[in-house]
This record gives sequence, C-alpha cells and structure tokens, in this order.
Amino acid sequence: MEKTEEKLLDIQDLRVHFHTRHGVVKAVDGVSFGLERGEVLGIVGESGSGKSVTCLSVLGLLPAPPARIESGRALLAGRDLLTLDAESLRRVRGKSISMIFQEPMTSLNPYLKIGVQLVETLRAHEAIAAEAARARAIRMLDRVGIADAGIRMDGYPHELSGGMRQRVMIAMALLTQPDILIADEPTTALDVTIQAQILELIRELKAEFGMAVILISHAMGVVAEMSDRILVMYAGRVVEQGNPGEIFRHPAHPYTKALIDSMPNPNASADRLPAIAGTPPDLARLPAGCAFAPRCGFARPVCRETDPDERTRPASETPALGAPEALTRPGSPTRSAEPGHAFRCHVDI
Amino acid sequence: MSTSEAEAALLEIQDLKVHFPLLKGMLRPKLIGVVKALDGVSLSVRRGEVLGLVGESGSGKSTLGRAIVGLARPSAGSIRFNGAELTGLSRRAFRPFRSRVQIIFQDPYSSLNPRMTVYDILSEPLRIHESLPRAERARRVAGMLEQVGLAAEHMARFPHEFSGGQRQRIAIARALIVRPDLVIADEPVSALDVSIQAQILNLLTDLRRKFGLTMVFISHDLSVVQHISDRVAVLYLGKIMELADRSRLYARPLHPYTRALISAIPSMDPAARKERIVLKGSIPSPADPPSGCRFHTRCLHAELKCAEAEPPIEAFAPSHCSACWFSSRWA
Repeated sequence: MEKTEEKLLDIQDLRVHFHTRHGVVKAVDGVSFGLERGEVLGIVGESGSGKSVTCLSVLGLLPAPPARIESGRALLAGRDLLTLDAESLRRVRGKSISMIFQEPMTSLNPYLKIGVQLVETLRAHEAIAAEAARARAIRMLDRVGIADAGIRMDGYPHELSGGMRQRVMIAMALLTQPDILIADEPTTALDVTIQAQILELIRELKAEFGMAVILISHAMGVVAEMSDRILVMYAGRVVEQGNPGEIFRHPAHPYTKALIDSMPNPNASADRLPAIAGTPPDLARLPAGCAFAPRCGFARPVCRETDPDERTRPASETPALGAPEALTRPGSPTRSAEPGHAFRCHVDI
Repeated sequence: MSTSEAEAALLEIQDLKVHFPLLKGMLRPKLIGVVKALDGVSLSVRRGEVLGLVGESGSGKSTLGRAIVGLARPSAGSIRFNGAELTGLSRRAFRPFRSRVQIIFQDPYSSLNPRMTVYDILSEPLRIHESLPRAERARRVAGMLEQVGLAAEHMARFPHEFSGGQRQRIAIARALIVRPDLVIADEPVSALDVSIQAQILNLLTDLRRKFGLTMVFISHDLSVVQHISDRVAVLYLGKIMELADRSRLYARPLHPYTRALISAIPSMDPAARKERIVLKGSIPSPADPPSGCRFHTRCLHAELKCAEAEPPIEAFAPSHCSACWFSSRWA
C-alpha cells in the first residue's frame, strides 16, 4: 500500500457514461490502474472497449454532455484531475500530460506553419521568448528525426508524409517535457516500416526524457513489444492486467486468450483461425454477469448471473520466461515487487 | 510441369504499366509529370490459388488490383484472363468479364450504398449479369446471405444497421453472388477489429474451398497475408521485388526489402523476437522513382551498382524470384 504515493497517475474506479437517446452507454465502467514514473503501460482492446475514453476523460477532452463522469478519481501527483476547473486542466494538458493521436493530419492545423504550431504550444505553457521557443522547437524537431528542421519549421503539415507528421506530433507533445505521454494508436495509420521507426523513436525518447507512456492500441504485437505492463479492456472494464510475458504466455482471462489465439500466427498451420464468435456487446444493453460470457467458450451458468470480482495470480506462479530482456528493457523502472497478474473471471483456464 | 502450370494460369500479367498524368492548373492543365503507379509488373495467378500482394502505401498493390478488374487503365502491358486479353477492350467488350472478376474493398462503410437495402445491393449484380426471374433472384440472394453467415431476414435492412464485420460479409456476398472465377480482395480485413478479422478470414477460407475461388489478396499486413496466401508477391514503387511460395518467402526472404518488412512484424512472443531491421526514410514518390534499383535509397546493403543499374527479377529457386543484385547472399 505504501506504493500508492509513488504512483505518477492513479486512476480509481473510473466510470464514464454517455447519456444518449438509446440509453446509457457505459463506455468506462469501473476502471482502476496506476502508472509509475518511467513506465510504459499498454492498453489493448477492440473498438468500443473504452481504452480511448478512459484517457480522454482523464484529460477532460470528452464532450459533456453526452459524456458524464459518474464516479472515480484520477490522481496526478495527488491532485484529482476529474475535479479540476477548465483552466487548471488546460495547464495540465500539454504540460504534465501530452497526447498523440492516430491520424496526425487531423491533429495538426493545416493552415498553420509547423513552426508556428510548435512555438505556440511551448509558449502556452512556459514564459519563454519567441526566439528561444523557436530554437527549442528546432532542436526537438531535429531530435525526432526531421531533416532540415529549421526549414521544416516554415513548412505546412501537408508537405510531410504520414510518418513525418507523426514525428512532428511527437515533437510537439514532448516540447514541454511532460511526465506522461499518452499515445492513442500512434502507428495504426502508418506503414509497417514507418511503424517500426516511430515505435523505436518513442522507445528512445522515453529513455531519454524519463517520461511514462500510456500506449493505446488494438495491435497486440505492438503493445507486447513496447510495454512494461499491459491492461486488457473489454466492454468498459479492465479484464486482465499483468506484464507482457505473463499475459501473452499465460493469459488468465478467456477474452485475452481468445484474442491472442485469433491472431494469424505463422506457427499455427491450421487453415482456420480460432475466431471469437459474435460481436462486442452493445454498451447500452450490457448482459447480466460477465460482459464476455455470451462469446466465451469457458462460460458457466454463474458467468451469466454475477459479475466476476478481480482475482490475482501471483507473478511467482508463472514459469520463468524465455526472454528476460523483454521484461527488463533498458529504461524500465526496477520494482521491488513485481505487481501480480490480475484478472476478472470466475473460471480458471 | 511448366506447361501444365502455364495452362493452369487463370490470370497472366505481362509487363503491366499503369501511369497517371500529373497535371497542374485548372483551366488549361499542363502535364508536369507522370506517376508510375505500376511500372512493369509480370505475374500469373493459378486457378484455385490465393496470391498475396504486400507492400507499403504507394507500392502499387491496389492499382494492380484495380487494373485487373478494369478500374484502372493500363498504359502498357497485357492482362490475360483465361487466355483472353483484357487490355484495350471497350467498355462493352469488357462487360462479360466483369462478372468473372469481382473485387472486395477495404472499407465496408463506404463501399456499400447507404440508401440501398441488402437485397438491392446483392440483386443488382444479378440483374446486370444474369437475367433471372424475380423469384429466382430472391432465392439466390437468400442463399448467398446464408453462405456468408447472415440470414435471409437481413435482406430488407440497410447497411447502417450492421456492424463492420457484417458489412464486410455483405460486400463479400455481393462479390460472390455472380459466381466469379477470380476475386480481388483489397485489404478486406484491415478496417476490422482483431476478433472480427479472424471471422472474416475464416469465411474467405471456407468460401474459397466451397466455390474453388482464385483470389488475389492485397494487404499491408504481413501476418494476414502469410495466413491466407499460397504465394506472395512483394511490391515496392510499382515493381515486384520478390515473389515466392508463402513458406519460402517468410522463411528465407531473398530481397532486403522483404527481409526488413518481415522483421518489422511486431511479435507477441518475446522469445520469437528477432533482430529488427529498421528502414530509414519512407517510400519515395512514384512520380520520381530512384535510379537503378528503386529500393536502393533505403536499402542497408546498397552499393554503387544499385544506384546505376536496375536488377532484373531472377529465379533463385523453382518458385522463388527476387530483384536484387545481391540476393544470392541469402539464397
């Protein structure tokens, strides 16, 4: 319990509901997790699982109405972000917590020169002279791998390729040296080779600036490679969390297991993939009991009646992994005790 | 063997070029360049096989698919379908082939007309290509819906009432209802969630077996292509870099570009993680491709020769071709 105070971000029992004509959509329904300094936390889940809404609500970026934060706390260094007024929140956003999005073209202003957007971001958060801000922006562009950074400052976003735009977004996010970078599907719109470049860059910059990263993605491979710890979300809940080795080698939740099994895998020679039947539930009409039960191959009568509580499986139970470097990557925080492997399921699989 | 293989080729593409003019100005447009989306591609697709096309955006893989179904006009080269030449045909002369070759697009949200019911969407190709009595048409639509995992009662609904995966099933049904010989699937699962992606891949596998389909499967996702294809062609800037049987291509890639692509596949399994080859830069403009080997500007093994002369595509094994001066290093 003494670990609570060293957490950089502490989300407790967050519930975000959307009040729509079709009913109350429970987009996030009781999510709790912590983020430690310098850690990469991966959040995986399919569309509608609540991974983006969780992060957007913490930053106060959801339109309200229809969104309403029903309960919970989001403590950043002890301060609850959910109770801050707009002005204080604006000072947190872009300063302590920065966010990058999937489609860098829609996140950059097409009418403004890249330099203007970078300098504006910096000066919104720091009392710094225009010239000094410009110099810092050029240094940061250079650092994220933009060639001829000085010249690019006077260019417009449309002159850049998708990968370069994402580099500009990363430069903009890191200018103020935030403690937390939230990357929401940062490579989904990019080609494989560019994806590899951007992931490499995020990894380097994380080590260099010592920030924590929340990486949101539907791509299990990307999350597995980048993260120190992983949350798996389904229907607005965290159904499993643990380190990548445990999650991918010994998934405890049937959804996680099914998701991993349904990925095309070169070692499985079968023609057919073990797909998950059905579709994710309507969040306005969640089934009783476990939300995954209707699609779950392990479901028992109890699963359709009561919602499972969180259980833990101690990390020591998991056999040693083949590749220890995956767990102690350079720049990873060293923890005195590995947090256990937690999941919400009635069944032992 | 080689003659029987040639006989078995359903689609034969020779030195295909698709060039788009780059125009500037609105009133009196001036030609300022040419985008060489495809610049000399030769390949054949055998009856009953799935040929995977992989490459980054700008590689020309979608243009190739569109050229095969007649949606992009070839500038040079030949496309022979079942022995008949398709290039240079008038719209009218092309029409009989339209039902033989069908295409499925990436985005099931934009490829289905939102104002048409599922019945209208599926019966339209039947009305155009086959003159059937109304009752027979309805029977065919209902039967096809069942084949793709939907029910006959879905006929009266509109696309917006379906999820992404279900819409893709409708798009697949629309392509297959005229019983084509060849299906071009252009990124058919890229817009879908992981759990739905597996369902659609399974559906394509089942339908392929049931109807004896031949398929060209276009994707940027190397794992998906590996799963579904018998052979794979790797495209870069409008040219084929490497073409091989699936298992050979992934186990022993002979082209530095393929090697980099395969190494960039993120892996869930920490033990399976290999050394990553991170390519520098991004794909150059197809309006101004590099000299010599088109890949040399990003290649880790490039030498002087690569900038000067373009390597021919050569066979290194019976079913394995690569266009690199140094492929023998990895052979």
